[in-house]
Amino acid sequence: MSSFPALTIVLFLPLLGVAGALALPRQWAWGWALLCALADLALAIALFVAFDAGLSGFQFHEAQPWIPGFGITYALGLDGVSLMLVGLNALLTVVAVAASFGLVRTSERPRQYLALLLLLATGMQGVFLATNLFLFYVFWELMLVPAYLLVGIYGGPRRTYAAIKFVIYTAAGSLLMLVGVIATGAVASASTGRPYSLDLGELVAAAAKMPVSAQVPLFLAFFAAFAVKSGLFPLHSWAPDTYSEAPVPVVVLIAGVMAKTGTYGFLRFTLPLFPQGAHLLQPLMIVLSVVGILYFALMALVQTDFLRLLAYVSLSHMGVIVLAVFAFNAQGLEGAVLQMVNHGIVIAALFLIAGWIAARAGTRDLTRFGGLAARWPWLATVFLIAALSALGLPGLNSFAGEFLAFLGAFRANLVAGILATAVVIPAAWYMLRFFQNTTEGSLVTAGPVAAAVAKRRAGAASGDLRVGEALVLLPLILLIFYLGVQPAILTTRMETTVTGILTAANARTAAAIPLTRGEANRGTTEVFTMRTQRTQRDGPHPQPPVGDPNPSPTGRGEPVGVVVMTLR
Amino acid sequence: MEFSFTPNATDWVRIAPELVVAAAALVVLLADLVVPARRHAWLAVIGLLGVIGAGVAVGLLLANGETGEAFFHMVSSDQVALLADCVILFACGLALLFSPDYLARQGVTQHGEYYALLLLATAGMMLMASATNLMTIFVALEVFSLALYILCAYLAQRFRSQEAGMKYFLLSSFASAFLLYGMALVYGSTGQTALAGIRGFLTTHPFRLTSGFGPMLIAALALLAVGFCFKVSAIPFQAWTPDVYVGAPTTVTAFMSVGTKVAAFVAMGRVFLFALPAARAEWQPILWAVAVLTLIGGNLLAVTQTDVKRLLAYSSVAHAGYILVGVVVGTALGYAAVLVYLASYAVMNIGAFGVVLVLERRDGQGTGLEDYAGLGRRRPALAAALAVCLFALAGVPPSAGFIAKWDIFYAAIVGGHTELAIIGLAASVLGMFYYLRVIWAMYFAESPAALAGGVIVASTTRRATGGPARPAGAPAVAATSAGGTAASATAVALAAPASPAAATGSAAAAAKSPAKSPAVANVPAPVAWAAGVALAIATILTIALGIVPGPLFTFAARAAGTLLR
Repeated sequence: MSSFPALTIVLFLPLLGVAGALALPRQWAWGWALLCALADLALAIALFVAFDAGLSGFQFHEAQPWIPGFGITYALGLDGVSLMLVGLNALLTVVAVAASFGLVRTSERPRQYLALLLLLATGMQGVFLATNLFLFYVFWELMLVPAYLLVGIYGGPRRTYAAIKFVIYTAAGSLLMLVGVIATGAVASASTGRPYSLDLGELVAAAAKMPVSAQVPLFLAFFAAFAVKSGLFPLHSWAPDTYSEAPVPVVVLIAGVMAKTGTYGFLRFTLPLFPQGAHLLQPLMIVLSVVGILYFALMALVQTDFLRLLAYVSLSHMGVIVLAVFAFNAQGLEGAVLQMVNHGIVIAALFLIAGWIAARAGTRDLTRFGGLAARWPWLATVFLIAALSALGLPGLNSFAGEFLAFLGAFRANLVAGILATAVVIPAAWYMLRFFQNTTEGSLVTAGPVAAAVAKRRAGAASGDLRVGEALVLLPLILLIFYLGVQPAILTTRMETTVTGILTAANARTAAAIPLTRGEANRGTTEVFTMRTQRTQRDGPHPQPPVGDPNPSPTGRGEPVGVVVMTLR
Repeated sequence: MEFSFTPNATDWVRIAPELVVAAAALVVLLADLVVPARRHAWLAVIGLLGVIGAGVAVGLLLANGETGEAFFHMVSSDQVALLADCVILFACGLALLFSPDYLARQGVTQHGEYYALLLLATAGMMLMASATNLMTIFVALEVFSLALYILCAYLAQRFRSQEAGMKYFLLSSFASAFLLYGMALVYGSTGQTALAGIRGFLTTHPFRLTSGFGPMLIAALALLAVGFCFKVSAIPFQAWTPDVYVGAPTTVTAFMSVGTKVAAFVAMGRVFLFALPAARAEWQPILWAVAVLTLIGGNLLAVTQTDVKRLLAYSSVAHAGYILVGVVVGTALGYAAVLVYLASYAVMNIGAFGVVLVLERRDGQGTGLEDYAGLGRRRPALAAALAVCLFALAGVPPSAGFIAKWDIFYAAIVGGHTELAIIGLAASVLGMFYYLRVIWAMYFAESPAALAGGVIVASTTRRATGGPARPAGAPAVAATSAGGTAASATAVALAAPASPAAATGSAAAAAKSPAKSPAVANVPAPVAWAAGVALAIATILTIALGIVPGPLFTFAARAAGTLLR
């Protein structure tokens, strides 16, 4: 593309905000931070528009040598998947900074807070943009420091416990991945005889030659980091503590974006780099995610602290995304990517609303609420919209993604599909329980909630949604509606990339078990047929590239072709 | 045996950096006679000029390619030596910047000897790093060790400083004896003291257990390993480290924690990797075990520390473990990683000790974790500098600590020692825990009382001041247990206190004298500008090395490559 370093600017604009927030007087810091976040969002939207959906591979690619001799380059790239997440991150950064207005006004150290918030955003942009594993790892770890400090300094009463737990969990996972990253380069270079390189493209090209005996441990090393971040079943326990103790704008970024770095990592790295390992461990991943989906949904049902409830809601939804990634079919992957964006938007809105309610009432105990809708109708309305979207109401944004994700799961494994889809029952239950307990029924007459309502009524200001809060929420609500009816704006841009990842992930399985030429070609045709069929529904789309000649049905992986054939 | 050797100009030029530093030490001693005691900072200036001069000499040697052996295979100004010189000079320079203010605060009256000894120790360390002969290694080792014995005991009015000097002297002499015995046996088995000669002998006479010199060389290897492991404070030879590091003047601690490591590891690399690669099968298992012990033990021991200076002492043990991994791997890549790690460690560790010494009070107090409570509020710049250095020590990018760990793990994995990388990273998680605890004290705890209330004992601790929505059961149980056992000091130290009020006298505070814990809110003294400059240099370099590690990587790779090709 052009020589204009658009990605570098998208990446480091928040860092400009960090510098400004620290240098400027405190009354200007918030404005400056918001300005930088908005500029970043504007650039992300520009990239979204300029992105050529028909091209496979990375666009706006930038590469500079960084540490010569160690295969380390400063390489950034944007494809259909990272495009979505860069946009989501830019959007939620704006939301988080904007929502921090109150916190910044009352905090003793507002400038440091804003600086850390934007540093976190920088780290996450870097994770989504990096196409060199070293660079990726640097940004991955860079997320850790600001998140730790934000939770620990600005969090709730149990912030220290939450922050330490968060950091130990994520650091343990990340360090395992560090060994994985280094070893991936070593294994790749040993299997191909090429010099050590951590460039994603080169590693993907070498993936076919990596022995399975190396792929499985490498997959597990990466798995550790990604599973912790995405809150996969046995490694999730940091999340409820962090989500309920961190300041709400920070939760917006952690639950909304940082959790996605885990699922993004699964999609971007583990699938194309260790296709055979991924196929071998697919049952494990499916079991863990299905158990997680159901377990977290049930946990959400019994929480009385509604921030913890939302934390489990978020984890349950993340489980759906992981399940969809490991469905190894186009529906699953597209559903996963779509759901990453949708979940980010919805969970951000829900956490913001829940945070506002908690701040007004001074309690997060669900049993002490009731009847808020009568007094605060606007707050109840936006809450209802977000809640309905979270439980997957058709017409709102989560539906399309969840549908595709479950479809993918069904095609990969019938039992897993049935079990995972069963989550919609507790999902409706916990969301409505949350909503009804707080907003419906008779207004409570005693306790802090009643006091908060009474105070608001007596005072000049209404306790309902304020203009500033409405403005913060507005883009999210609009997107909830818009993406509900127009998911194609996202899906058309990600199709080529998803096909590419899928081809990489499935083709390697084929390479492992040799096929005759004829079989291989038939596989390609079937994938083609399937894609055309499916996308006709979504409207016109660019022709997917033929790609690797061997994306073929074999072995354990339940590749696309076979499944489509049986369904037809 | 007849022997004659006449040094020529090249010989002198190649040890110019060491000469300049040694000369500066003598000038300091002379100047001490004329500089009035009030103006003792000028002595530091002279020392700094010497350090800068030596740095220029290093640069000139590098630029002119004057890299080679000198004085009949006694020393060498090869690239490894020059890189080590840079690191040692850097450590010395920063120590000199920190010293005037620190010495004044500690009430030291004799300054001349202090600076002279510091410079002599520097010269000794540089010499050891460039030594290519067992004799020179030993002589250089003694030069800097003798200077350090005195420096450790320099705060004459402080009992722990005396203890540190004595302890270091006794144990280190013991280790020196081991080393010397090992060297003697190497000479006995190979007939050589020059490292190149030993290497040559072992290539012409293959090393076998049954060959005539085999058993003797095995004994030599064991003794050498003990000696070196002691000097780099690897477990199980680390027992002296915490006491000496805590007792010594903090400027000296900062300097020696880096300098001795650089000198000893470079010499260790020369001996084991350059001179004795033929016996790798014999020494590798020994060092492997020591490295694993050090990685795990060093980090484990550090976890329980409540004194920051002591914590950093144990952390230096842990870091010796990471560096040892590079030695065990034994390839040129591994040795390059050792050099990179040493340079990175110097930068971040001096930064961390720098903050500690700025905060240390005259009586040697002010280094406890509780003294750091709320530092982020009281002294944001100092806290930020310490946070950067601690994050770096924990290995968080972008920092010197991260690229150093990367390089070590890279060398280990590429060199076929993935197990060491995995053990190392498991140890790093522990490391994360205790470094972050200091950061947590600085930023999360508002006051010493709050800190005592939240001392983290494993993961079961819950802050008693839980959210209003939390059931009251757990805090109540904690309250009863803490209240019931309040009489027993040990129990209080173990249990998480139930409320800030009850917490004041317990846990971390109990470790120190209880009288001073409530009144830490002393007026912060301004940081002397020289110390501030030193801190800024260390902090900025810590980050800069993380962002632009290329030159260091290249230099280290070339240096190790030329030595071990």
